[in-house]
Amino acid sequence: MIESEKIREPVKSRNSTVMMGLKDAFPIMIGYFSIAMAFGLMVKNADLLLSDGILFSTVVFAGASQFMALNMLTTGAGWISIVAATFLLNFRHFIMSASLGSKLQKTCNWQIPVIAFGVTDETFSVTMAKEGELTPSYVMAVHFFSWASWGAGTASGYVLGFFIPDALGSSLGMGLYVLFMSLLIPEIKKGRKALLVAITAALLNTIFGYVPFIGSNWSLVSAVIVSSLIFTLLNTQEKGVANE
Amino acid sequence: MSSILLLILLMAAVTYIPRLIPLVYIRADNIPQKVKTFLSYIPYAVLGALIIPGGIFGIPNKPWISIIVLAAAALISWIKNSIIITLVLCIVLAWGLQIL
Repeated sequence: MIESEKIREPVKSRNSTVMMGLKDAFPIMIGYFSIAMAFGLMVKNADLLLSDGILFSTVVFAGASQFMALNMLTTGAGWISIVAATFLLNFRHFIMSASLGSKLQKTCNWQIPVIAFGVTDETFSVTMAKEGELTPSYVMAVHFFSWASWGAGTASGYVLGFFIPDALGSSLGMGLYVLFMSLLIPEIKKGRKALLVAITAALLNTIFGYVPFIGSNWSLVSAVIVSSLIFTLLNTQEKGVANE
Repeated sequence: MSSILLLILLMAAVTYIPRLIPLVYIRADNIPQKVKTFLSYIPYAVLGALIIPGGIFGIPNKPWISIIVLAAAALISWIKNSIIITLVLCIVLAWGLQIL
């Protein structure tokens, strides 16, 4: 009796964490759907196939770099430089995965390669805002629903492309930054640290963009590391003073 | 295989590998507190750096509209913590300002 309850309970709680994942992923799904529509529209305007657009979104699944790749394709860039730029732009996920790994339950094994595929700026921000350790089924649910919505939005944007005026298309694209902002503001309301770290990173990213050798390719990664490092060092100093 | 398919596969590979490696080797219980603090700041820094300067050029050739929309996004999500409401209002605002 007790044995069977023990076996059943994880299944029950897994269902509820999947539902929680769907609930938390819902805002991302709405955002991704509209932004992916802008992407689908761009794919169509670049004279690529619907299947190319869907493959881009479901196999690469990295919004900003997909927009960048299309831009580079239409301006005639070679695909080696596109792949290199994609690597540099998406290298920030390396830091996010490390950060996510520090919050994941130790019991994850086979789920790791699946979870890794779905790490994006938005899914990362949502899962990291959750209190306590993260269960693999919760994270996979958030990732899956976001991914599905990104793919569906791409297809819809391509198909509906005939009916979407330019001004609406670029407004949907702007939605990407609105989404970032609405993920950041709740963190800022929780504590001043988030505001300071974010503003420092924003300023550094702007400045680094003009520095030779860093340039626009490395500026984001460097800005994120430097600003987080500065406030980590300041934080330990403050604590040291408080302890004395 | 067409060259666009090759491009997609290569982009997928260079995107997936950095996402996977840290998750395979890093777990919560073997990370020092200082490193945890550092990693906890990463999301704020990433969001800040993604919004600026990129967001200012979110709408091509119309930085002022982009800046107004970003400010509106900050204000709306400060008042009402709902991503959906913020997103819908801001997309409508961006569209409206471009049509005017």
